[in-house]
Amino acid sequence: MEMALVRKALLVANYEFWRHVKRRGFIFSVLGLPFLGAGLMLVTIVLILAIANQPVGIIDYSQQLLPPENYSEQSPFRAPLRPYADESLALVDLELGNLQGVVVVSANYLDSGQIAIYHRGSYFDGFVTELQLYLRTSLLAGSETAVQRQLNRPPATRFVSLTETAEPSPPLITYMLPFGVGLIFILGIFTSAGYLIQAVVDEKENRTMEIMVTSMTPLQLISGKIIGLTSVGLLQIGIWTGMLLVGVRFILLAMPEAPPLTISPLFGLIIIGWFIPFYLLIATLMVALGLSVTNMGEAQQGVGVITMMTLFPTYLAVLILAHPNSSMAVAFTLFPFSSAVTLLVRSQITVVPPAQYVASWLLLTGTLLLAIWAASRLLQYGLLRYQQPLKWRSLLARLAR
Amino acid sequence: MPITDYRKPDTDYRKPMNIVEIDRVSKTFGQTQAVRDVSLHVAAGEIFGLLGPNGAGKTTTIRLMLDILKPDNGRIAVFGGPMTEAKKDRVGYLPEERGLYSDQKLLDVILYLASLKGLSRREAKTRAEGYLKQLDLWDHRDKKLSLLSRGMHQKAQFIVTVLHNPDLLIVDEPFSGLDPVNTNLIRQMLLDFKAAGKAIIMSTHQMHQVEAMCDRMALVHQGQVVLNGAVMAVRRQFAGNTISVSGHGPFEQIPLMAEAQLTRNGWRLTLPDGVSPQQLLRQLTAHGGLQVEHFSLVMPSLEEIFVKVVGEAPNLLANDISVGDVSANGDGSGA
Repeated sequence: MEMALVRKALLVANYEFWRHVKRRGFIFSVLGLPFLGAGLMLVTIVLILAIANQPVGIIDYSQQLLPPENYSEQSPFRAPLRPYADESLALVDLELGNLQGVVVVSANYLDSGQIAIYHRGSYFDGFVTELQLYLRTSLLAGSETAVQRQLNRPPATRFVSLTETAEPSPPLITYMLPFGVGLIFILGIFTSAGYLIQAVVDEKENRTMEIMVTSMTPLQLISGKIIGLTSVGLLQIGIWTGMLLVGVRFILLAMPEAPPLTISPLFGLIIIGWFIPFYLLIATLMVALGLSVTNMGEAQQGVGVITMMTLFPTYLAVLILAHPNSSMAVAFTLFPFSSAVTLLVRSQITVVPPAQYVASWLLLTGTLLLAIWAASRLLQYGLLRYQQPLKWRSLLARLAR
Repeated sequence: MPITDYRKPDTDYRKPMNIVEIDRVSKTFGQTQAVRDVSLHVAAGEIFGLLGPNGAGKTTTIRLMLDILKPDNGRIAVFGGPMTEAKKDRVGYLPEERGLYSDQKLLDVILYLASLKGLSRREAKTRAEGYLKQLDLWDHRDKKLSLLSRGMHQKAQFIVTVLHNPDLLIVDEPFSGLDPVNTNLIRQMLLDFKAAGKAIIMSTHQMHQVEAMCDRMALVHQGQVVLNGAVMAVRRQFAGNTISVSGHGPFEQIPLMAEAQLTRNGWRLTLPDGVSPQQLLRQLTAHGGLQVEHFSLVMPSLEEIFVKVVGEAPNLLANDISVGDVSANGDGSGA
């Protein structure tokens, strides 16, 4: 008999899963969003490179600078420098779009340091930096090679920390990847939570639920929906995370000088230990919300509150990254709606005390159990409330009963 | 894993027995008492009409039977005891409000809901094909439900209700949205289920269908059963003393009559208090100048009874009407 009960919940889960996965909207959103992001990034890179690789016209009235053709040979400067005798021809080329900018070095440059840069409003910032390097190289031409070399490269800095964490600061991507994965999880969670609340409210509105509960218990029905629709969200998260990792790998391959990406083993633990309960918590709250309201309009208000609570840490992400052990970061670690993302980020950049892990997990799972209890109390009450406004008094009375 | 077939005759419910027994059941929502001290029973092989005006408590009574709601008081037995998950597979429910997934294909929805009733996909597919063809929906099986007409929706919902061959059928307004041809089709199918020994509870406002199909009925008003019994007995009870007679001769001269009215089909004779139809019949046959070709008690339609009973509800609620073989509380026990 128990198997038959589980079987029905799984039948509902299977149906809900495929019903949503086969929808055109789902396929477009799951595959479309990463491709759109990647496409936009690619277009941006191509546009930037197209501008960056355009020549820069240079008119050297001071006669103090290296001939551009010589400089280009010895520098990784990407935008080729094209010498001009005077501005007139250079500015025509600039107008025609053959140049990304024109640099005019004044005759008394050595005394005044004055230069003028003509551009069309879309010049690439990088060319100013490269220009400074060219000017410096030109001025130092003929001096000691060692001095010139040191001036042209960043200092080889070694950080010595006096705190317990003597490790050097991880590269930026180490901060951003968990954050990105965390955001993908939250996005996935809310997508499937949206499906869930829509399914509950719709079935209540069109009375499908009344037919369903003549074949199973309300708990089986809701369990099946939660399993099926959270699976939809997990599939979405899996695809997006996979695509993110593939993208990061491509970026790293294109940047051989970038430091190797290291992910703390706590990453997996937090995904399983925090994100799964958090996922279930949101799903349960959405079901409870769906059972308590009569239409999607009412439901959206509740969804808004839950979303705000969850996304709050991301608004303050900079502060958490800058001060991972601050009181605010600890508070977000303990708060059940923000603990998963906060802990994921903190675990990659600092050492979180074990007590905080334990307290955070207990608070999260405790809240989840409380939500499940409340949802089960509301199940029978909310199931057949068609087009009846929400009455908080009767809702609370139901919970207290 | 083998699928448990709850329809196998592992119990003796196929013997004449009450499939549903409701005993003094009440249900209150807040300040509103939706169902008050309701008692009724439904036996295998009969169609039971559950009637009443809108908001009378019919749907609440049905939901109580289906265990969707729990009663505040009283006892409900389905297939001899409380509703269980296994018993739910033996119940087919057609709600008044249609509730199928409109964004899904017809056959997919039917197969899914059949799987929840314990049918294997293969078996469900075979049966669905039969019903879809019978109800002229086979060509629409791959269409989304939102594209089907109201009548088609109704037929689809009916298929979902009966596909698993339930022993108890609860149908709320089964003919809603159907044309006369499809109405007859569904009616015949319900009668076939009855003939197969299934218990059917039918809630409808179409009184002529109740007259034509139901064996027994209960009229619920303001949460209470105000009328309960065999349909013919109920009609006979409300028949009064009006007789329809046709033939030849001076019927208006019969002395026992209070009033005689000539109609298109003969005479309508109203008897005074204390005179039974049998006395009149004896007098007519004894009368030498009369040739009687037809003699019958004029039966009121259920619609007339419905209007009369619901209109006089305040009085009736104080003293429930029992008709035929049922008791004052309509529990069928004769107590």
